Amino acid sequence: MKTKDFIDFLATGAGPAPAANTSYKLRAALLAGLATSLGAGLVANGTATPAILLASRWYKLLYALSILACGWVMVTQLARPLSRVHRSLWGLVAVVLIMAGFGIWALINAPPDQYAALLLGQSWQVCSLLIMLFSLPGLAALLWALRSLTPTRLRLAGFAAGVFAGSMGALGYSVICLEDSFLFVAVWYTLGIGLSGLLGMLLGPNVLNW
Amino acid sequence: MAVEMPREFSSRLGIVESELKALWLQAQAGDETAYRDVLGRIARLLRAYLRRRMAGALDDVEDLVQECLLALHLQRASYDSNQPLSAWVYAISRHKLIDFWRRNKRYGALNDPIDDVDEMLLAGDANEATSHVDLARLLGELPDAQRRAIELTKLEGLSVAEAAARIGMSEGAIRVQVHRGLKRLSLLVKVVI
Repeated sequence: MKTKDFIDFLATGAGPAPAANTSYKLRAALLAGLATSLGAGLVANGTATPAILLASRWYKLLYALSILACGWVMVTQLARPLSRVHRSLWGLVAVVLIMAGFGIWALINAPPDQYAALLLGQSWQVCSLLIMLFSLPGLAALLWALRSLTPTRLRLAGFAAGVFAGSMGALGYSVICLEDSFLFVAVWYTLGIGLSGLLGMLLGPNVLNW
Repeated sequence: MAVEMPREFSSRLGIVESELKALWLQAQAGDETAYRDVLGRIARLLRAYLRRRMAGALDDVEDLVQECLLALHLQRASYDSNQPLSAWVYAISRHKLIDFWRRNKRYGALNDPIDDVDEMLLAGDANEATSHVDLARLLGELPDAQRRAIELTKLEGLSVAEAAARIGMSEGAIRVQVHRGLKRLSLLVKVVI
């Protein structure tokens, strides 16, 4: 087929361009991810007071919400061909570094015989893995939403979706997480969210292609 | 993280970009003549860009030009008029080119950019450039509703309202069928290449 004729075909009856409407699917994915993650956390928690509501755990909530905010900006940007993710990526790095700073500060101020307790708590073996598991429904929903949009940097978009979903997973998991140490959160929460990001990055190029 | 643009898109950008963008904005507003014109110009940019990067698969260049044009058409809602048009076109085309390479790994060794070729040669004859795409056959593979909506509005040239009256659908439904049909075409085109 001649390109000239193909262009005629495209232009005929094209009408005005439809309005951009990228974010409603992403919003739906955000709600789905939060609902499943928090729902799973609340179900697992049973009738006890959710641990995240204890005043001394504010930093977990703040950490997860900060990453959630960075993730939202990254994902909405990367859903379109020309994306600006400089700032949100640096924002993400800054949030992780600040949390790491709190962790190190806690370590410096603790007697050496507390180091292991601060780092490992009671649940280090399951924390990251559970955060990643809690994030899977959100990741699936986000990839589904992104797939129907137009990401052009698939690896990065997959990573952003993974980190974003990871922060949802961290929120849900924090409902049942009894740990109370900056260092614990800086290490194992970050690892869980990072694993989710890695999974998204691996899936991106295949799943998000259009 | 800005993606660095190749020469075909960035050279003479002042002239090309402002002309293209003005036409594109008219097209976005519904001016079909401007749309034809700007797609033709973009096709020439794409041809030059792709020829350089598909040295081992020159026979497939025009197929990919058309695949890119279809993608631009389908995604035109994603263009934000605050952005340079050429950057948006390039981001989408680059994505399509990478996808082509991924599907055709055998060309991997041959895709080194050629830089010492005359621009005019690369641009080729815009009126005669032909792809392997067989539109009639591809349309035949679409579900009936999508095929009919596309035939009426894009081949027979009926307005959406006329097409809607003809097959007893709402205008919105016709638009949806056309869009879905084109989206499916963009997947079928990949199988051709």
